[in-house]
Amino acid sequence: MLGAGDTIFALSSGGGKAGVAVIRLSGPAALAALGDLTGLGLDEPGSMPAENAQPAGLFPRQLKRATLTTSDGELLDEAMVAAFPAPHSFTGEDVVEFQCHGSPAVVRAVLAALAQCPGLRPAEAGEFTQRAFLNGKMDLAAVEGLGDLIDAQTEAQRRLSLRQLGGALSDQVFAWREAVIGFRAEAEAWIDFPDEDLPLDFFPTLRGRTTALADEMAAALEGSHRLAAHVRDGFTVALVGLPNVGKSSLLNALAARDVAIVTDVAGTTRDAISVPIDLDGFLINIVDTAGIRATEDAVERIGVARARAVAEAADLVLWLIDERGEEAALVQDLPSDRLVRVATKQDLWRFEGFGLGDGSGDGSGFGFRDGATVGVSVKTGEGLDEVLALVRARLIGEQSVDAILPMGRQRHAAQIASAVAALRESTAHEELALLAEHLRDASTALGRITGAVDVEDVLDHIFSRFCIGK
Amino acid sequence: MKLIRQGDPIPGDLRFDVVVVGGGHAGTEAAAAAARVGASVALVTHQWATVGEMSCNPAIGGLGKGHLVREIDALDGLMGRAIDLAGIQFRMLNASKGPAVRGPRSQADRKLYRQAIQALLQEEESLTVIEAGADDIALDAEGRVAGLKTDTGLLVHSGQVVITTGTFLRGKTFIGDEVAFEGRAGEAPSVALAETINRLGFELGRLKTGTPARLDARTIAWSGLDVQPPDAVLVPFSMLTEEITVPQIDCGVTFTTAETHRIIQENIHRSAVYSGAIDGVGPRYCPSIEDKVVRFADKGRHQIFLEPEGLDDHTVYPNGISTSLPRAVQAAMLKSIPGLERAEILRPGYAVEYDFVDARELEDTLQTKRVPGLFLAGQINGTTGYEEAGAQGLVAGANAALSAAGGANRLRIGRHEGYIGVMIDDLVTRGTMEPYRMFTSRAEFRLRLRADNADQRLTPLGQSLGLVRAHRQDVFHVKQQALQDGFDRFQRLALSPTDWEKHGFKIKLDGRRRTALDMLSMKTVSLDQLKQVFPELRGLRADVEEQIEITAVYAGYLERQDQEVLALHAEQDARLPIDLDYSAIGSLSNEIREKLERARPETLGRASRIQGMTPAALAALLQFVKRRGEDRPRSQPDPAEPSRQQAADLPPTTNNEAA
Repeated sequence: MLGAGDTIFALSSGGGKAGVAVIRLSGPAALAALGDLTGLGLDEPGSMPAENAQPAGLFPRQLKRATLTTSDGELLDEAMVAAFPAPHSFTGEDVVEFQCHGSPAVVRAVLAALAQCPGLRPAEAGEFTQRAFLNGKMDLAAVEGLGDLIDAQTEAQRRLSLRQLGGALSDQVFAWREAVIGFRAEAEAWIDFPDEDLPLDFFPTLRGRTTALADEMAAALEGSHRLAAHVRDGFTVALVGLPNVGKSSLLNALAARDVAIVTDVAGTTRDAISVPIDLDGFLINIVDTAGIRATEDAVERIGVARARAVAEAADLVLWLIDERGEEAALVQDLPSDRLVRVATKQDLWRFEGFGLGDGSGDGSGFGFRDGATVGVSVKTGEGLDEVLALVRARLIGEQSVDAILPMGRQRHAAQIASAVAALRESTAHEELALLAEHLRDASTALGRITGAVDVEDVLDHIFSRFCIGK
Repeated sequence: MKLIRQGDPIPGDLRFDVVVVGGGHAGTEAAAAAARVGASVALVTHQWATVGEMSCNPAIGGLGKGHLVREIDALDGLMGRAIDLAGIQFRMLNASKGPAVRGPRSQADRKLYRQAIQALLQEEESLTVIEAGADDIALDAEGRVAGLKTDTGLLVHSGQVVITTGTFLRGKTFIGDEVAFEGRAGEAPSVALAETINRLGFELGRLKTGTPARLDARTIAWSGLDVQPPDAVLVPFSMLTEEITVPQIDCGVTFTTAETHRIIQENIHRSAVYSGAIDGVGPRYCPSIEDKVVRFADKGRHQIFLEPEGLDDHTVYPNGISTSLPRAVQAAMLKSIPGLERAEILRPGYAVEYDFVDARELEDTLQTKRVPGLFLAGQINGTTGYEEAGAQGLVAGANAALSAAGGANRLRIGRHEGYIGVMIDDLVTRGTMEPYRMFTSRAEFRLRLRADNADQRLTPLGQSLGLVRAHRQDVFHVKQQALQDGFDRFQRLALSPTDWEKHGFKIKLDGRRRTALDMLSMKTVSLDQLKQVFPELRGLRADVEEQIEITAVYAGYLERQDQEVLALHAEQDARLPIDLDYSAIGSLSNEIREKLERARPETLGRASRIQGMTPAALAALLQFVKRRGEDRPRSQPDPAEPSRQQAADLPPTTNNEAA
């Protein structure tokens, strides 16, 4: 990909409906294409235009309003445009950005006009990032963060990605790195400077501090990894219940409630419909299962088993009941903290507690005694907010996306895990050379996320902390 | 050895395979190594009498440094043999911290050491020592080295010149506001040579180091001081030494006082370092006492080792208080230290500032990239320490001789093979900002680069290059056979868990047969235990037993490191031409490009170790190497010829493509 001579373009904002669509060009023909569509060219900042010459209209990195037309003069859109000449751009090449109106029709028309420009072709997936990487604009971690950003469907995903892109790779990981370098400095000072008058107080506590750091890292890894994975992949909420209990109606009502539906393309699986909604920045996939009931019918039993599998894999199960009562067999052994019972059709009947309905059950088999039962009516809208509030409370609780370490990526998680293991291993050794060897492994693992830990980092620590000088 | 003194008649045309300039630790190892390889060698030095002089502290070895001496010895160098004849306080440092970090160290009798080095050189038949100063390097029409001009008017013809001038390049000494142009107290600096090196276009920097006042042992009140004794069992440096016969002495230990610190604080502005007289960068690990007091103001006292400089020499080196304060302040400061109240100063401490060449000017053979045939070794490359200098001298001298002999063989030591390799790789890849000293923490393969196995790591390599003489080959061969026999015995003894248990060893009953070596790798099993139960494991040489024990303990680690070593080989095989046009790889940032152009790394691995290198830049270089690899026939490139040809093979790039 190095030295690719062609110019690529793509819609860089998401594929669905949005207020603004960003179309990005990168490559040597990007500025020419800008001229083709807008008539604008690039002025050098501070330069005087030659006599009689008209200013070309646009300074580098300036956002300017422009009218986009086709080569036939046909109006495409009123848009904001900006040009980023190489090398001071995201990819390191000449980059042009069009911020158009978000209508799919406008976007299609602009993309079609760009395809007509000489030297331009649509970008392959990830190609902008690849060019940026090859031109030295990003390190590996930043590229991975960007991959998430490009895929971002929700606000939380976007924020998580930005934390990585900002080189944040989280203050916390850098703090761990510093701590490990400090430990190494202590061990290495004892090894390399045996005749020095080193203070005696730090070494006896090194193992204890190492273990404490390993514990902290392991706990953060555990919590953050789980949450970050949820941010990226979303939570899954399964709607389960008898046929015609109101699952599809509830699904549609919840989806409509979401002011920021992130995609209008509903995914389908073989036997379940999944609709993603945005709940306070978290992606929630609501999965509708086939209606189920206890049956002797062999075919239907397969469907029941399948719905059960969905329920088991889900982060939360909404167990829908109506006036017919409950079908206990399906969900009775799911843990109660993953179950919320929803009484539907409250415009037709009133759920008034366990033991009601058709009298077939009191709910005790479900472990529902915590009272987590909500009555809803999709007709009147009653209870829908409560359902969402309960879903939020159960899945997200007090967690905020800001608390997530940028270790959603498997690579980061694996390195932190191996650093934790190395730290623990180091404390098992009496022999200083081996203890130091494992500390080195720990810093190497963290260095794979943050940039390599150099021996000079360790020596800097030693010489600033200890007076070495026989 | 032949000696040509100033004014001696010159026997016709002076022509040698290798000329070495400087008779310090780098120069003597260089001359001896070149001679071992079979070259005719001239060693040009001011004075034969000071060859092998220890100009700073009278000690050899320590952590990392002791490892270097063992490696020099493994390559049949001088330093280990000399210190074994001159050591007056042998200690194995870190004896309890693990075999990989044990470092042999010894105080030296300076006179005995000098004599030992001179005696070893005198045995070299192809060596001529010329007493003279170096004035200029003669180049031929193509810019290759053609010889050396001396300040006595001689032209010594040679295609290979090794410069080892230590701190003598525009050396300048400071005692308070007294400034003298000298490379070592009382000895003239090399100014003409510095100008030559400057003229050839080398990047120069300036470093400083210091030395403490020398004291008269007879005026020190030893009785009240702590002592540091030698070890009970003296372990020699050299594989050729069977026993240390030099009498051993104690060192004294004392400390600075609050009064010492007050005197220093009050006069700090008169110290050459703090008055602004010195620009050079000093080492952080060997600060002057002024630096210690200023930078670690909360430390109540600083340790001083009182090291006798010889058995029949009453000079004492007070290690830990190097200084460039004025004479009178030095005297006042010393009087405030317990035991030194009446100590007489034989020679004041001083700071020395000198030019050094950016080692990124060098290939890993220590030949300069700029001038073919010119080699640099020792402090001139920014290092400090006798051991660092000696190791470089050996590599430069051997490679100069190999180069003179024609052919592509060179002495190159990988980071996984020796501390020498770590040091040279660090230097030529990254240069140095402060005097470079070896630490074991610099070696990522520390567990395999041990002082105890230096011979196994390097003697075969030295042998293959003709660097190891017959006597050492024989000694090494005998040891290898003893080792083989020892390992065989430990591996032949294999028992089932129940049998081990019968012999009194607690072990998991998993049905797995275990050898005695397997057993030894367990924390709960000791060598003595095994020896007690099994007579066939007794009677091995002590050094063989030690090796077996260490190998067993580190087995898991060493196996794991094998993977990393393989990766290192892959990186080393990805060679970059030293005249690569980095501006043609447009994807490199200016900063990275500058660093690469400065270091001109010979391999991709070395490029990766340049500080500040980014994965993106490496990816671009890797692409380049791969593309070049595809263009080339599958034969191995000749590593000695990193070649303009390869650069010419570069596919043409345009600005457009690179953007």
